[in-house]
Parts: sequence; C-alpha cells; structure tokens
Amino acid sequence: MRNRLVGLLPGVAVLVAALSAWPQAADTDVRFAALDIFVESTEPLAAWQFELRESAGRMRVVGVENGESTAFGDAPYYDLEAVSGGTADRIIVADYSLNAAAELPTGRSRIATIHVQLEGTTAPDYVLNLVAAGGASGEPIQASIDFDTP
Amino acid sequence: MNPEPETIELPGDIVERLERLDKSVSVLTPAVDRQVREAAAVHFAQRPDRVRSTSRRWAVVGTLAASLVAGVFLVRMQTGMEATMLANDIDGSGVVDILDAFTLARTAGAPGSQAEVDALIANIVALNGNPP
Repeated sequence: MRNRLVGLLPGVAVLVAALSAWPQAADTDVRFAALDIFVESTEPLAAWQFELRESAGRMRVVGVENGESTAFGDAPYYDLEAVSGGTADRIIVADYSLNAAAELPTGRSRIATIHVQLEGTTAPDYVLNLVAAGGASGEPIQASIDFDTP
Repeated sequence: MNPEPETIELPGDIVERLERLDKSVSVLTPAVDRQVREAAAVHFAQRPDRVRSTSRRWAVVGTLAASLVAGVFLVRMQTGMEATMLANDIDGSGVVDILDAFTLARTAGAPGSQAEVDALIANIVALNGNPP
C-alpha cells in the first residue's frame, strides 16, 4: 500500500505543476464611470484647462460633458478624434468665456463631466491636474481642482 | 681505383665573367643598412601620390559639406519649432495653454479670427502633440 502511494507522488506533483501553470482567467471586467470635475477660485473664472489620466492606464475616455455654468459654451474643447476613436487613455480639456466678470462662476463650480470606461476590478487611481486658470482680464488666477464620482 | 678528374678548358671571356661573379660579398654594417634605407625613402617620396591624395581631399570636402548641410537643416528645424511655439505663446508666459487662446480671443476682431482661436486650442488639447 505504501509503495503504491509513493508511486503516485510523482504523478500528483506533475498534476499540481500543470494546474499552477494553467493561465489565469484574464482580468477583462469593463465598467463605466462619470467624474464631475470642479474648480474652486475666489475670483471669477474665465478660462481653465485640466488634464485627467489614470496612473495605470486602465481608463479610456468615452465622453465629455459641459459644466454647470452658462458662461461657457455647449461643450469644452478636447481631442474629439482620440475620444471617438477609443484611444484616449488621458484627456486634456479646456474652455474659455468672453462674458463679463459678473457672469462668470466664482467659488466651487462644476466645469465638466468626464465619462470613462475602466478595465479590471481594481479601483482606479485618477490623476487630475489643473493646467491653467484665468480671470476675466486673461491673467492667471489662483484656483484648485478636484473631482467627484456621483 | 679512382679515375683521374677530367680537366675542362673554358674560353677566356667566360672564365673572366665567372671570376667577376665570384667576388666576395661585402659585410652589411648598420651604416650601410641605414644608407640603403634612406636612399629608398628618398626614392619613394619622390613618387607622385596624386590619386590617393586627391580622393582623400574630396572625401574631406564632401564630409564637411554634408555636416554643414545637416547642421543648417537641424538648426532651421529647431528654430522653426521654437518659432512656432513662441508664436503661440501669445501672453508671453513661456507655455502655450488656454490662456494664450483666451488672450487671442479677447484681442481678435477680424473675420476668421475665431478659426485661429479654435485652431490654437485644438493644438493645445491634442493628445498626440502634448505628451503627458
């Protein structure tokens, strides 16, 4: 009996090794999310530009939506070709308004909503950078940026 | 019993020539060796080397010309790129961003200027033209 068990050991070892080498199921989970982008400034905001990416490149931008202020146009500027082609693993968004200072947003304002497609089940690590913020006269102003996922 | 060696009578002029060839050879001293080497150097230095020096001259000239052309081309390319960037840095901040387009939009008034603003912003937000 013992001899039989000993004889089976090599076969069991081979089987375990084969099962370990079996390719794991690919992490192909895909889901969608929306990020509300907010800029906060103490002065009227007339122009802004930000860049959004995901640190591991697991994000694809699939849509860009306008913000809440009517001072800005229907849609901000972004690389429409890259987004339409599904190749935008990051996005640069910008917009400006020629409205008078009294009609510009002040304080915390949602400037855009970015719709993204995410890969995998790992929580995304978004990297959001405010590139430029300008006042009504075109001068740079102090502002901060953050996002929220509704 | 050994036979007597045969005596051959040769003509006088042949004997004379053979005697000349059979002269003893001079010993090659270092001085003689140096004289021979110097004479050879003088002899070969006098030989024309036109073909080799001419082709070498053309190779040098050609390399210099090619380097000059490449250098001018690279400088002009770099200058062109910098000129484009400088031209788009409308507010003189050192970077080209939405504030440059905003300044252009605020100061523009001629027909077609909106197209210029849109084109500038298109470059600003283009992912290919703006590495992360």
